[in-house]
Amino acid sequence: MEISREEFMQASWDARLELMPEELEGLEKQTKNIFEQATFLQSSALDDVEATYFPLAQKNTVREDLAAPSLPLETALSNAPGAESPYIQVPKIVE
Amino acid sequence: MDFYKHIVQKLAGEVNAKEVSPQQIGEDVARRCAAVHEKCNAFIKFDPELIEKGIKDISQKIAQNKKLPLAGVSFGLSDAICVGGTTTTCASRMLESYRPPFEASVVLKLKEWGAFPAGKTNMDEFNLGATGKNSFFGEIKNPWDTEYTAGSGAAAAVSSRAVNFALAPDGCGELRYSASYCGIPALKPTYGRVSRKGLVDVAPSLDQIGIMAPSVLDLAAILEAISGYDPEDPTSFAHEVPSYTLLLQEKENIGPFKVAVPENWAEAPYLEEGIKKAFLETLEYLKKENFQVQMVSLPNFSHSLVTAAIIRAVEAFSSLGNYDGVRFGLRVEGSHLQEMYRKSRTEGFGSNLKQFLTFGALISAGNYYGMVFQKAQKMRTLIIKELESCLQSFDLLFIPAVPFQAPLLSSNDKACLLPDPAGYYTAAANLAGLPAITIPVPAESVSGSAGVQFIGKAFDEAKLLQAGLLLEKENPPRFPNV
Repeated sequence: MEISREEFMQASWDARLELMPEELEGLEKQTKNIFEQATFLQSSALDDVEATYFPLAQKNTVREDLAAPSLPLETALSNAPGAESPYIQVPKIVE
Repeated sequence: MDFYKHIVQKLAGEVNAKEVSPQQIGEDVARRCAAVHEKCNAFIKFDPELIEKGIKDISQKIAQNKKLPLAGVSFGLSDAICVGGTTTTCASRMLESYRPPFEASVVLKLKEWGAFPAGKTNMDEFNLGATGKNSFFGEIKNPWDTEYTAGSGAAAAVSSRAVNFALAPDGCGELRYSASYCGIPALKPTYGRVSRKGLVDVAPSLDQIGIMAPSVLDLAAILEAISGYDPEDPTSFAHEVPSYTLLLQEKENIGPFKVAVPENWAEAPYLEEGIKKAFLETLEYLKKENFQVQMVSLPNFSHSLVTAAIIRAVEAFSSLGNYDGVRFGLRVEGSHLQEMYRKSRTEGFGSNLKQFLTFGALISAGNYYGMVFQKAQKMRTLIIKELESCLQSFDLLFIPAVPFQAPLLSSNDKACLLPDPAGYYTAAANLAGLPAITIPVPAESVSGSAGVQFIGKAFDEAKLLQAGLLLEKENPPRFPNV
């Protein structure tokens, strides 16, 4: 499976990350390595197999529909890198 | 008095009987934690005030004659598990000053039972691997020889007897193989057995909280304390929790078991002779103890490491998407929102994590979703079916814990994430959500031991502990001097 440098660049943009050239090279090598080891990716024996997304079968758990206090505003804002109660500050996005 | 040498039940009994004061224990734990931190960089946050606060709470309860099953028992918490009053960093610059607004359910339970946290232990960033080299807070050294990795600060702290036990995450086996690097037992429970609330996970379908302790009896006591349904964790199961400590006391319950060994177990990359020899010797010992050992064909087992790496990368890409510098974590200012996101993530995450997340983004998109990620999910189905079918005929599966001894910190040849070769034997239990225990047995290695591993049926941790105890009796644990 060949993956182009442009595809890696697009993936790093999708992940909102900027990789240094040596990091991109490292990632290319590791990707090649993992695809070489994942021999089952080429196998047609998997075509009719159902995918598993969770290890053990679980029922949907729904709690009772009761009102409960939410996180206090001060606590919710305490970890925000920029805040002016009751808001979280972010860069201006409208000119 | 050497409180740290006591098993947790004995220590708690002495505290409840007021033969030992919590203050004495607190001073002893603080002294030992400081020493192991200095030697191994085992803690991210070693804060004597955290110990003092815990001791104060316990002292008040003991003064009121309350009987606490874990009175005065100290524990280390991997820095991916939230506790009140201090930071939870996941060993990442991104969360360097993050203070969680709630405590993990396991921590609440342990405090209720009389245990106290001694500190937040060091780890690879977001627990991706256990190289001991990918923490923003520096390398984690092995207490047996500081030239080698400990894998995790939790393993270094427990093997040095700084704390009575530690809780740490296990996503592809990090808990189990770092414990093996340091020569201590570890247990990953069945998925859903122990609440995951308050664990900062990267791969929700794989990551769990596990236990490291100096002995199997300690593992049993702690598992008993932290198991059970948690309404605040939707992945938690309402499954009966037996008294594991009582089960271990009943000799007639211990084996002999029917044990399966994958016939291709020796094909692991980087498998070292010392590990191979220790495993084969243990196999002979099990036979001598009348265990019925049989080689079985598990052709998909060898795909489990790669399968888990692919699934984990995609889940991590999704789970860590909210680390964008807005509501919490590091923010690096940018001229517009997108630039702020990108700069914050680029400067907040370490190099290995960035590559891992980019790989996750790559295989989440376009044709790669079907060609890679979905195929891995299908392979996961086959691996689970294979293990379930095997465990219908056998009580336990027996394999090594990790193919090699603790690597040298100066070496990079095994420090890969895609995939991480240390997880060759451990990843399958995560994919299937099955419980697994690792036990140190004598070997030529830096810790003088190698980890061997039993995997059991879902919710059958009792058999794992029983088999583990049998091995431990033959191979009493050894600990480094700190």
